[in-house]
Amino acid sequence: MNPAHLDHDALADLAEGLLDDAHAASANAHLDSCAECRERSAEIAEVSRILADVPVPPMPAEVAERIEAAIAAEAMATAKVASISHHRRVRERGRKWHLRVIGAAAATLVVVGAGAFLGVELMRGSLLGSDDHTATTQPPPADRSRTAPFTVVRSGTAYRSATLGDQVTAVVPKSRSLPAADSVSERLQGCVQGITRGAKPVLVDAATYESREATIVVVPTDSATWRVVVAGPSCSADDPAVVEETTIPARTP
Amino acid sequence: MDEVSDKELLARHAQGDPHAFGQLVTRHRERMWAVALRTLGDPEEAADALQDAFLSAFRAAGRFRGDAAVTTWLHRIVVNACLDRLRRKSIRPATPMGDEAKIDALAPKLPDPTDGHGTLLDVTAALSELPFEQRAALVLVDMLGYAVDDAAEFLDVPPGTIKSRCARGRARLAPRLAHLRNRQARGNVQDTDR
Repeated sequence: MNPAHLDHDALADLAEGLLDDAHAASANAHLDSCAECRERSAEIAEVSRILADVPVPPMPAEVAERIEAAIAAEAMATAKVASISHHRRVRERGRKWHLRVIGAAAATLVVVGAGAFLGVELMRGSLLGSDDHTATTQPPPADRSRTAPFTVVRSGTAYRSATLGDQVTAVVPKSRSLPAADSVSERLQGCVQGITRGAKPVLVDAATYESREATIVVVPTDSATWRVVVAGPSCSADDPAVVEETTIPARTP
Repeated sequence: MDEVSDKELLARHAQGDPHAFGQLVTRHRERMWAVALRTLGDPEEAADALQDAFLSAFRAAGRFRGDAAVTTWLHRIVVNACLDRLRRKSIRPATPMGDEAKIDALAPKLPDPTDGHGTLLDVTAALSELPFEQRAALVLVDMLGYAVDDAAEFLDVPPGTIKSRCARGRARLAPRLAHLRNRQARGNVQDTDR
């Protein structure tokens, strides 16, 4: 290549006004006499145009709803904390005006309840690929078995960040002989389904991670890898509260 | 009827108004979605990042200082949430972009599906090969049309840094996207290989 030619970096810098005066002058002089570099320079200019022409699709409705539900759940958690602390202060000081705040919190709870319900319903509909449009208007069916194709075990493992992959690899093969959790809360069900998005997990372990309560969910992503998600105690359908997420090689049975 | 300012809404939220934050979200979510989707190149990742971002904003509202615009503050949070997502997923192999369903979710079908779809595929794939800093700068400035000064504020770097990241990114994308330009420009394309 002719050493006087300008590469893409130099041409992009020139176009953006990043070259000092001397360099810019010599680059412009070269461009005047070199069709090849002018062509490259035009390529650079076209990049901006091509990028600007890519349309941005609107946010899908389900994403908007999911975010609304997550914020509603967060508002509920905040309201609970507020109402507890205000209760305490009401008792301590005997002041009545705090009750107003509690009233506001209770109102939030009602709204939030509806939002969370909507979130669960939407998720269930999308997970099952259901065409049943009445699903969002009817109360959830009493039979939950079809939405829980997984068992929550308690391996008693104290998972740690540094050894997470190895520990998961060791626990999965023996998961069937591990004690299952007595009952699975609706929150945990929603949490796991939110993470697995319909896939069947190879392990759901109610254990600890870095000495804190956590649920370890392992889902096959393809034949060769597992996705390992560590969910915190607040994990729910609306907020996975992911503490850690990694991908490890799948262990073949 | 949306006469209340962003700052006022955020202040009301910080004072416990249960509806104020939702209004802020509704007002800005499309813009934030565009930023997250184009920065991450994957609608599921973008949805996750955006949820993370709005929750952080919800919690951090009390710490918002009035010296910046609320939109600047929100953009910063969204960009950081995208970066966090990428860091968390960094062990994973690069996102496969061949999945038709994903491509469909990235952009609506265009009148000419071969051209429009192909362009989006190429652009998304080429962008995904750039370092995060260059990609974020190009997404903000070239794709979404933000001023360099605004992008600099969102990414918390001087404007000169944004310019140089954009230039570096364009230089890397130019050879990758040249065929799109030639396809549209003219037939007498001569290869510039020396």
